[in-house]
Amino acid sequence: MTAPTASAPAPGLEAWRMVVALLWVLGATAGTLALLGSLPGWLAGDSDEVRRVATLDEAARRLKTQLALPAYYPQRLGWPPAEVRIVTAGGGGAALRLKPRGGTGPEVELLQAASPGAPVPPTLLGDVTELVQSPTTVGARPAVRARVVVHGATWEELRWERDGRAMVLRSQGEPDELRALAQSTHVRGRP
Amino acid sequence: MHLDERSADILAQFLVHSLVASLFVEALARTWDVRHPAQRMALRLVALAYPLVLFPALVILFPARFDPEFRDAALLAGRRWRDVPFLGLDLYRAFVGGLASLGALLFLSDLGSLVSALRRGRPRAATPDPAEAARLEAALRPLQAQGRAPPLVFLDRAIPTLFCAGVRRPSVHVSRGALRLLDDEELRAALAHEAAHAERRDPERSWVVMGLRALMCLNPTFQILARTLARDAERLADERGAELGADRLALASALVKLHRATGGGGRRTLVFGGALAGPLRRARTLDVELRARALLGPAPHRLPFGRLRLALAGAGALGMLYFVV
Repeated sequence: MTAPTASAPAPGLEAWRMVVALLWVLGATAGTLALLGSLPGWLAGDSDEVRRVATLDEAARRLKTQLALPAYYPQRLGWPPAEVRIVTAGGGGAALRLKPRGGTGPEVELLQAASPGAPVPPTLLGDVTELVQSPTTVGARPAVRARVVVHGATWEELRWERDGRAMVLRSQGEPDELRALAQSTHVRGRP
Repeated sequence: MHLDERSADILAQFLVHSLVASLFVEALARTWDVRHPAQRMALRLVALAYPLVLFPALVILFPARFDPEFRDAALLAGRRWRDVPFLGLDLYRAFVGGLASLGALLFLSDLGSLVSALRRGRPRAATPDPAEAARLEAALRPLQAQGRAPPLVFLDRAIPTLFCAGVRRPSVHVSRGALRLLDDEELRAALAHEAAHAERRDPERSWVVMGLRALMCLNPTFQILARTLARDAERLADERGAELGADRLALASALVKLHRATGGGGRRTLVFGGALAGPLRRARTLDVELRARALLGPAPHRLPFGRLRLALAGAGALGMLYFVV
């Protein structure tokens, strides 16, 4: 028995149908992927949880702002930061932990608010007990110098504002190094 | 198993890209209304080739896609799912781990079937009685006239079986039960179907696919696609059998008869095989029903621009998945 063959459409029409169908499927698939890609942002929203991120760029991207970094950087400290933590809720903020090369020596921690007028998120600051404080300056800006205990360790701390953003720099090392680091801290592209 | 961040990203993209590529190709096949099994198979081979060829090329040629900055330009960045709190789970890693486990499970279940088939060994050839030999000869005559008759092996078995086996020299195996079950027209049609398998060297191809499945044992999409291709090979053999002179109605009838006679079940190879037996039997029955329906209809036509469609499908998938990290 010879089976009838289904009739084939005209090639011109088929070519047109092929291109339109391809564009439709491409668009629908890309749209679905984009929707799936944007879901985590909607579901997670802003969080007051502290999250570790892999890089400074990732922190900046998630906080949607450039981070302030020291231009003066002592040789003894390793780069990039050993740990980058962020909080996205309430204006947000970041904490960069700078560990000495080779693992021995005092550490430095730079904490900053992500938006002007907002404080550094308390969850980033940790459980702080202030022992003593005095007014000082960082460059021409008013600042507070304090000795604090954080999780049982004593730190020298400088608190000031840069471009309206609250900054906290802590060190277990020399006060001169702390001051030099604070004075050189700036957002990339700004003086 | 501990993976560093980059390896975890590559594994995640490998799994997600394969899934998206196969869904994209499947959607294209349906939207283009590709009905000819050879063209459907060719399109699915594009999806099958994605993790084997296109994805490695993407990883090697565009390493910048793994930079964190690229995530801003991406359509979908899987790593962002890490930010979604869900019972303290890292959804990103849980998803990747789940997919990889599913892939391994699918591969091992089919490997189990294969090992059990190999343990049973090759079926022993028997000599048919004169009446059976005459029927077989008569059924093979149309194929012999075209010079396409495959070597035949007769099996002294009451269970009706009819299949093509043999890697280097494919031959068609027919059991006494099959001869009793099928009438002359159905036997001719079934032999033409098996001759099509032998002509395409499908047993050899199935071993190559099994080797690739072992290579891609963590990729569930690859495992499912390989199974789908095996079904496509059956439909292609149906159509090719019809081209070799098999009556479409007789072939559909033979298919249904053989399926009913064997109960549509396979051997259990998994611990929980009992629980899966019902759904698997239903799936096989549905597949036979679809093949029979296709045979009752007219022969499907080949769409024009076949190679261009394959190129467009591959390029479309690659271009889109470039932005999935």
